[in-house]
Amino acid sequence: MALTTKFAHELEPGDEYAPLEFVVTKDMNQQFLFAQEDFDPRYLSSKEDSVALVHPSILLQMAANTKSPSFKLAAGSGSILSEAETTFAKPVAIGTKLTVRWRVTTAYEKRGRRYYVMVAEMEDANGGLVLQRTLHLTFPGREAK
Amino acid sequence: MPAQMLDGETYTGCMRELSIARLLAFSGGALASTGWPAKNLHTDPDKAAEAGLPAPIASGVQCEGDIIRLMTELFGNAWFEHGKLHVKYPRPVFAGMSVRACARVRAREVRREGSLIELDVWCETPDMAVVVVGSASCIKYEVEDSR
Repeated sequence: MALTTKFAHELEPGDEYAPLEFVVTKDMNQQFLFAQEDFDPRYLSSKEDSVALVHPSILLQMAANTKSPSFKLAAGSGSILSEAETTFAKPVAIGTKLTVRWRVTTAYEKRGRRYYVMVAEMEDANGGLVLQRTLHLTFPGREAK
Repeated sequence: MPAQMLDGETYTGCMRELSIARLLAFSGGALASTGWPAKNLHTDPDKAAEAGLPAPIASGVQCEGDIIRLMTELFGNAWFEHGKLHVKYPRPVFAGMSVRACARVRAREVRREGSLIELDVWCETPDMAVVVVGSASCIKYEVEDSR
């Protein structure tokens, strides 16, 4: 399957976005701990032999369709997330290399607006699934005809 | 973390203000990036005004993070391997508003390794407006994994 270069409102089932590779650093994690006001010890390196975990909200944020290098909005349009279903499969330690892949699975109409269902899968460097997130997206302003 | 979670029990997180500082930290990009914060509907009053919004709007994902915090308080490390969350975002949350996460046990199924707990979850404002709503589930181990 070729990676799509379409604008978001032109997506069709089967289209795939370019994957994103990233590593959550200690600094990035702490930024999100502040954003979430969640300073649980499991996210902080308090002992030399313990590994701090990445806050799950970073994983959700990085699974957003807007994070793909392929994501492209037409002028005058926006990207709205209306619904999300997430399955967590594995805790992630700070410094782990992660890859996210996105594919459009279905599209539907609701109240005169077109929605796109996109599945994001995040894996670690060993190919282990970290999370799967199903996004229901709409791109108001320049909807597909 | 509760030892047991029974049908109908309700759990609530703390009411927290989604200050503009928190929105910038969540949606502004990496602090060390050039030109931080990124200007978007979540971080910039002018961008929000262009879209007809009265103020920067919090990412729904940031409110979802409040629910996840409550889930990790209820389920511990099991959430990272068995947590499931399905949400919708019925109302916007603007910078300066406060929300808290809530959860109510809907069903409990005893399994060999523990109990599968299903919950209704939501985030609400001080005037009880629901801004995130959905369901969650996770295995509740009889003995918490201490990893």
